[in-house]
Amino acid sequence: MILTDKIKHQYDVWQGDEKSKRTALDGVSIDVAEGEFLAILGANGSGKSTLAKHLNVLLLPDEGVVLVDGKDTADEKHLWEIRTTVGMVFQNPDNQIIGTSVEEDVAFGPENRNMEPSAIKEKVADSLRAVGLLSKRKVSPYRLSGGQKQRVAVAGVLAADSKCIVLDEPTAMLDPVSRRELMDVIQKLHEDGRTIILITHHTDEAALADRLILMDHGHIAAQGTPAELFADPELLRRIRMDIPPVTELAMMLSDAGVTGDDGTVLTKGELIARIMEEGRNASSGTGHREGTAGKKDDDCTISVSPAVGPVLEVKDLHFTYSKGEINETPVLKGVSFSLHEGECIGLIGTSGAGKTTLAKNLNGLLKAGSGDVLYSGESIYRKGYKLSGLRKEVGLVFQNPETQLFCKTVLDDVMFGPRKMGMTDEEALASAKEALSVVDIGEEYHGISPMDLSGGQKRRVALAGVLAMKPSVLILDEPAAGLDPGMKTEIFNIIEKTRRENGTAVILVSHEMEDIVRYCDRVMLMADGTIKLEGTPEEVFTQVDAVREFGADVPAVTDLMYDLRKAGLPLERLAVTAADAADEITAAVRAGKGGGR
Amino acid sequence: MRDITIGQYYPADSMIHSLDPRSKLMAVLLYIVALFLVKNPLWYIVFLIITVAEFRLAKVPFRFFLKGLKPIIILLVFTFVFRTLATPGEVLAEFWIFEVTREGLIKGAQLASRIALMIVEASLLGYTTTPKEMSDGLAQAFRPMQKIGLPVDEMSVMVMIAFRFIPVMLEEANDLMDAQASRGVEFENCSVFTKMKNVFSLLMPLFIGSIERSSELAMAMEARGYSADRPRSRMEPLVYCRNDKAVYTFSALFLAAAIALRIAGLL
Repeated sequence: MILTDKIKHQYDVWQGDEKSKRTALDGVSIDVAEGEFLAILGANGSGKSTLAKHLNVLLLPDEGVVLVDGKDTADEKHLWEIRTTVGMVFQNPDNQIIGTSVEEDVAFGPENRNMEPSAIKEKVADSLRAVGLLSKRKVSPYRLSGGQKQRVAVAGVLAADSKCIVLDEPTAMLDPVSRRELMDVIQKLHEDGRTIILITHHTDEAALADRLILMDHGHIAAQGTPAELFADPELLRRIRMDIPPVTELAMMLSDAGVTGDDGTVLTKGELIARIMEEGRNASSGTGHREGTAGKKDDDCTISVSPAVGPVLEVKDLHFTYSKGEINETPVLKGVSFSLHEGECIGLIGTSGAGKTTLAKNLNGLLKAGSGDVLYSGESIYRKGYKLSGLRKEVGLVFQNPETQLFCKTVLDDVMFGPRKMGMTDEEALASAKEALSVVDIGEEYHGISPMDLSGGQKRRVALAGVLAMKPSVLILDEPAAGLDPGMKTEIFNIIEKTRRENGTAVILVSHEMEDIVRYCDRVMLMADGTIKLEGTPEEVFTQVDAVREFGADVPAVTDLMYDLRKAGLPLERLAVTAADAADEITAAVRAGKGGGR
Repeated sequence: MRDITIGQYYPADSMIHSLDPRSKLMAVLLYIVALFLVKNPLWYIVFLIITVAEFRLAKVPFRFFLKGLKPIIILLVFTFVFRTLATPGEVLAEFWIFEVTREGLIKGAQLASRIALMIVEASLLGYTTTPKEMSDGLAQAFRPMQKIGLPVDEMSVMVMIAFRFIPVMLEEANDLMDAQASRGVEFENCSVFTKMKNVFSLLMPLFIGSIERSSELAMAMEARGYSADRPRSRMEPLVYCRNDKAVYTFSALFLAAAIALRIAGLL
């Protein structure tokens, strides 16, 4: 249905006043069959979005041909036909919704095609039903969650009668629950016979596709079924991608001899079936259970010294937006916790649970209605307390901080905070240079405009802007959102380094449970304005039912073990890391075999 | 900053909500013209009664009645005080260099209530008309202007997008302020001059943000088949119904009565 033949595409790139060409696509040929579910996986800047834009004539190739249903996209007379055939859903939900109500937005496509009012109404209702948002049709998009907005965008494409839907990183800005809902909708559409092209850097999403294309630096690195490609961890690592957690666990189990090693495992269901099969087969086990997987690696654990007293302490904090007005909304309803030097706390919960509001209370951007925040044992609400001093010590990095860069040069931007905090120019300069070297931005970038940097570099510069103030507490709101696995690791390495070298305490707000497990000593689950669960990642995430009840999610391996237990495997305890999970499952399967004899 | 009344639609199932936006626009226009014909402030009571009745008909809760006035309260007070003190005439009271005159009081009350009624009536239009209806209504009303080259359809899409993005942009501005405050910028406890300077530094990222946003939005619109050169249809084309005729008749009679009374010197 869609065919590209050796397409090339170049962009103009500006660095200062110098223009240069960057090749985004270099001879890419793909062939998409009708009704296929194709995933295109690749790191940021690998050319996957550029490829997507070629498929419905938002871009034309410099060289090569794109054919949709046999029609050349370069031929202007096919333009509208092709755009009807191939619909697109973009990454940022806010920048693709045009209507001021849900139904208006979905009607936009059919209206552009000059359809009859009654036909439009029918289309709108059908499409909204398909994505499960019919009841919200009169609501303003502003009132919807990110996941709902993306479903509206999908409905908009459906209403335009598109046979093929191209989704360009549609889940990059969503929490786990919304992400799953959207993926369910996508799979349903595929089952209904629509052609799906999903662009992503989440390997677990790509695993659901019929076929997979791996992109790297404008080339196709490999293509095949997910099972074929995920069998080769080296290949994935080379294009800076992760292995899906379930596949990783399956590999560990087959290495340990618990399951056979015939073919790559992609889904939870498959792995569960395989393990249960082994559990039932009372065949000869290989017997030894040496710790192949080992314990949780202790590299990241940084000594926490509770003897000194907490650096930040929150006592029964209440906060309400628009207090005393009609639209009064209580957001924090009694939050208490303490944070020690060098500690990393993960803060999880659905969008709207109050995580960002809590963060803003901690550096005095918002003032709580009641309760107290103590920094180094001193109340920040005390009369005469200097909030500017507090903001230097409690550094806050907002979501997508790269959009907040505003100075002329990179160095100026990083020096901005330290200067405002009362450092002299020399001190600020020294501090800024140090911060830039921590985030690995070389001297050659110091003098250029932040606008000329790549996405990942911008994010690191924004982080440096806060690090340069040398905060003793660092609050990060989704620091890795929208980044590919490689860049994500870079960001977390910077945070780890700061923690280790300066004893900075960290609060990490994240939707990625695997990251929380990996980097946090403690987890707090927020829901409905209070902290519902608290403890080590293991203590919290193994309470699967409770975590779900409060709208959050558990790591993929924990989820799998939970289902295994339900399927009848006598697991002693649930684990949160792939290594621990492999150990537990191995033990349970072998014990089962022993008992069977 | 988050509470702006523009485009604050109040959903309800009422006769006023279901009116054609063009009728509502026309009615509000005639109401305002009539307001300006009135000289004796006592007549404003009639206008007030009509407006209250409209709110009841529209099923909009009464607390919204005054909500629209909140942002302009200073303007109203200032208008009243200034007019009261600055109009020469029969002196009622005196203090320092000021004189309160009978004429002044009347003038002040007249001006302030005129503005207040105008705002309340216009806000009712906002409560009962979705931005989409409003832009469609305006587009239809200006349709004849298309002959002289006014791009009416494009303008109506522009208005719709503006309504859609007002809250988004406000939120973005708030986020930027928070981010800069976290890096040591003061927005509250500082002089007006510094405050202005600090607000100015928000403009740059806000500007860049909206450029990026608009190019992404333009792309999304194009991908969905939008083109200024192609005819578009409407999911809900505007059609007049019986109530609309009644509204036109009533507004016309109302204005005619106001003109007649004005000529007779009774207003």
